Amino acid sequence: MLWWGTAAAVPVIIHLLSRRRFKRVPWAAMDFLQRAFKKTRKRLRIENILLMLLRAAALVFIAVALADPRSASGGLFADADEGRSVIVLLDISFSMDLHDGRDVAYFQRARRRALELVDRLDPERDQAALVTYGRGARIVLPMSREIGQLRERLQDLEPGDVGTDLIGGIKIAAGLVADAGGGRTDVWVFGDLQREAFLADKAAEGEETSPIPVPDAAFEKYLRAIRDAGGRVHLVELGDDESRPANVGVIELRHRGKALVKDLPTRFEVRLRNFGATTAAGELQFFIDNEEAFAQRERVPDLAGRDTGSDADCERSLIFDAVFDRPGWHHVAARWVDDGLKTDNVRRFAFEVRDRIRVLLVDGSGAREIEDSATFFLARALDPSLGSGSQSAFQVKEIGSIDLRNERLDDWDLIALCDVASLEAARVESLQRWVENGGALLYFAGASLEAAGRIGAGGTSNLLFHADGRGILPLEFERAEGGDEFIARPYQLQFETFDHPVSAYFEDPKIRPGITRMPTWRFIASRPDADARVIASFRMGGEEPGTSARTWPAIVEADRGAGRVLVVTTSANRVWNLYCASPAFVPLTREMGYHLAARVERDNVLVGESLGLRFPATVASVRRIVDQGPPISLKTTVEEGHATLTLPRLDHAGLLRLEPEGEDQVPVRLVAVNVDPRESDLQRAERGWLLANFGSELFDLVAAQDELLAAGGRAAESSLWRAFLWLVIVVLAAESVMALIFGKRDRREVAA
Amino acid sequence: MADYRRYLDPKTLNKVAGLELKARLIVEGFVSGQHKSPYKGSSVEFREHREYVPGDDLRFIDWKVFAKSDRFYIKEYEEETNLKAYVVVDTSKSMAFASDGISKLEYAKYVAAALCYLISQQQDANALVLWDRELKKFLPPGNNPLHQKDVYRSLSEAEADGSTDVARLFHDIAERVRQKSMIILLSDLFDDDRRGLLRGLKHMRHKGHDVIVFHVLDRAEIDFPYDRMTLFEGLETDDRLLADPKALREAYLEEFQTFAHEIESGCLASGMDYVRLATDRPLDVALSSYLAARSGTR
Repeated sequence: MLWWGTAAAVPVIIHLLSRRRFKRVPWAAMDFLQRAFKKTRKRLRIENILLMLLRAAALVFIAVALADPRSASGGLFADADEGRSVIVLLDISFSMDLHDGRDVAYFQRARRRALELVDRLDPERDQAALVTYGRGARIVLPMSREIGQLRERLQDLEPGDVGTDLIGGIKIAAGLVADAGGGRTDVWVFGDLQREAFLADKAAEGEETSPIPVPDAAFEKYLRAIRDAGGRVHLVELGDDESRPANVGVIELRHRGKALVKDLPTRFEVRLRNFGATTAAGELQFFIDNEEAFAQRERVPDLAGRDTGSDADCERSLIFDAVFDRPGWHHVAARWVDDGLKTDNVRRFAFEVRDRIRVLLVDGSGAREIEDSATFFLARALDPSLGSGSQSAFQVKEIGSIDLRNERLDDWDLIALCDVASLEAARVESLQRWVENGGALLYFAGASLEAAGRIGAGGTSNLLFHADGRGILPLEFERAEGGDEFIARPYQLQFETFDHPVSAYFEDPKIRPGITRMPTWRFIASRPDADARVIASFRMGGEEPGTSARTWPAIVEADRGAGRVLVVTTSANRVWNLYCASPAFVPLTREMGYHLAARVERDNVLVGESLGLRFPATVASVRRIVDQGPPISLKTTVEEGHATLTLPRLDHAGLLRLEPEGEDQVPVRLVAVNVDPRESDLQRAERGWLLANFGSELFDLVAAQDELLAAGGRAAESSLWRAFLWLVIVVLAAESVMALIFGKRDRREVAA
Repeated sequence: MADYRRYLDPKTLNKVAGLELKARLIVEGFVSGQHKSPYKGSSVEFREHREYVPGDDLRFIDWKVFAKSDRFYIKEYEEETNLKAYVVVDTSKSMAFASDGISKLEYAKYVAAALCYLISQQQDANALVLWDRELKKFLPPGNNPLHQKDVYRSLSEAEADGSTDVARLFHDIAERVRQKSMIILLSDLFDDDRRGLLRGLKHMRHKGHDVIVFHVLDRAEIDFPYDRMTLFEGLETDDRLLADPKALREAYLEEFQTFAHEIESGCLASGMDYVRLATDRPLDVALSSYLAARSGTR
């Protein structure tokens, strides 16, 4: 602002210019004029210099007033007020580690500015607090006069792997302002002002993401609270979008293939997103178990940016195939090479590769003949040789429903209840907890449900398994539909979608009839819950697929906690249909098995989240190893027959290795902790957008360094701008009076 | 009847071609404003008749008497004039200054021509002297039409040139004019040697001449009305001065008034008539002043 001081040269320039602009007059009485000039030269010069100095001084004082000078010592112009309170909010989210073209991280910029502000505080009069607002905002230093300590803490801070929690930070600040009590409190926010940080967290509200971003009303609420408590929020801008380098982030790495079983080819999907404005290009490397050497890599030539393509064009999915030849815990990683923000360039995925998928088939039919059991064909479809030298991915065990009480559920990856109309309530409860903890349940209906009082309103099976929507099954059985008379004109299956792992196999029209043309003459009509997904339906035979006026759910799926449930409303044996007679029955059941057993993502979390893992009850402690760091021993808690390891708030991205101590039989577990991909979106909240949504009366946007220092100086120093403004007025008044005196003398002389 | 008085306005007169006509218009305009005609002055008053003798000017034969008596009689007038008036015009470069259309020299020419016309009409002899730094033109006293034409032509052709050296001129005229005469000086008197100027005037007076000093000045030289930054360029010298006129006005006016006062008081102390003529003033002031001085001479 002080460059306005050069305006002091204006009177001089005007003076010089005025000497260049004159009129010429041929003059006869030159002698008198020269004598007059000699006589008045000194006086005129003094008068001119005096006026010019006064004018220049006025301009200099205006410039100084605009620059809002400060007096550290107070002095003559000091405000008679007390010291000020300052709250420094520092963004330590990983996006702050973005390096600009000069390889300077935004965090460094933010910290430098914060330090410059802190340096202007007066330890004698001022107090300050330090708050960081990565996810899980927290007070690093409460309000105190320990300015030196605050400075040290600031210097120790580094950006983490967490996302931003601006709302949390401003909420803490509002509390501190309220506690400060009286006097003005300035809240300084040093962050990259990501637009995402100002938006309502839809996921937290249980809503689907909307294409229209909604500003978070909580932010405005806390701004108002701060204002009402006598505070003022200043958002410090660290740089504009143009200066921000492009950022491509690996936003997802997930398993997209069949179940993760030894020697079974599977695949992983990596999703990239370009969060920058311009098109980016680079290489994606895919690592399996070893992050020192990539297993595969793929060149990504044209990944559109925000300004060069649609939203869909900004994303790219790449598929990597993998086969694991040994069971146990593995991990894969995808790495983008390379851009200004390294933290989100890597994503990991940890998972367990099973030797085989352990399937427990529970028969509730009570059939005497083995071929009539409800599990006979299902068992053979999953494991044709039933374990004798089998190479199948499924390891099957058949039991009667009465024997389920003897089974340890955690020993199984998938449990299939076939024609089970009744179980012990406690067993159903434990089954439900097992599913919610990640188990997979396949339920086939059967003739046992037809017994009186089992289905329909108040039916015992419904009460047991559905429990008005709180049970393990996602549908309520209404009645048995069809009968033997429909054998001649049976119902037929039709898939509602092929965009599902179970039905995708049957998208091929050559394979599909193997299932859809197989007759079904009886099933249980049901009413699925709202959160259930109908994958296939029954329709009346003879009608073209999709034209039937009436359909009934045939295959219904729903999530239950971390697990999944799949219900088939007809029988698994030949009592109600002839699927078992079709070769297509094998892929249908195996796709179901793969799909249900594939849910292993539960062991992968985002930074900032906590995690509870179950181990055998014999595991008393677990050694946690993060990357190359020293191992840390953690105790487990034992309850309900198993040990639980709780990992509170994981603050760093990476691969956790959890080794049960003293238990050689219990395999080592891996957990991948990844950064929140929402934090990768560096799009800045525009000034206009902020002002429009939150109101200019509630906060300032400070862009330039001198604005920051000028405004920040208020905390400790006295403002002198009023004094300089008074000086301007005095000087201008003096100039006017003197000009009037000189002018009057001139006029008097003319009159004479 | 034409209103000749409007020709007393220098700006109006400036539009009239021919100096002789201008002179006549000035005098006619001046006369039409007087209550008493100057032609009834003493120099042309009838005294007696006498019989014609060969050699007499035929113009003075009284034809009415001849018609009655068939004899030639000559009309004799009382005291034929012997006044010689020297009209001295400064043609130095400083006289070229004109702030509002008419330069001091032009104004001086009008006055000089009108005076010569008036003088000739009064049967007095008039002489014309043009000078700047040195004598440029000297027409000895005369009163016939040819002389008058010479006077007008010389005045018409006079151009401003050279610097002023009034003192030397006055001494020169004082020595050159033997007979007591009326010397009419038209000049801005911008001479560095102010003492010499006054001495020259005194010298003329000392020789017994009646001296009328017409101090011809431009209104801008009197009031100094400039207010913007101005570069003043000397007319007689190469001096230039860039100045804010407002700041200089006080001192300039003081200098100028001192100068004018010195001249005026010097003239009056020496028994000379001093008349200040501003170029925006009517021209009859000069004629009135002349007639007043002329009557004093008689």
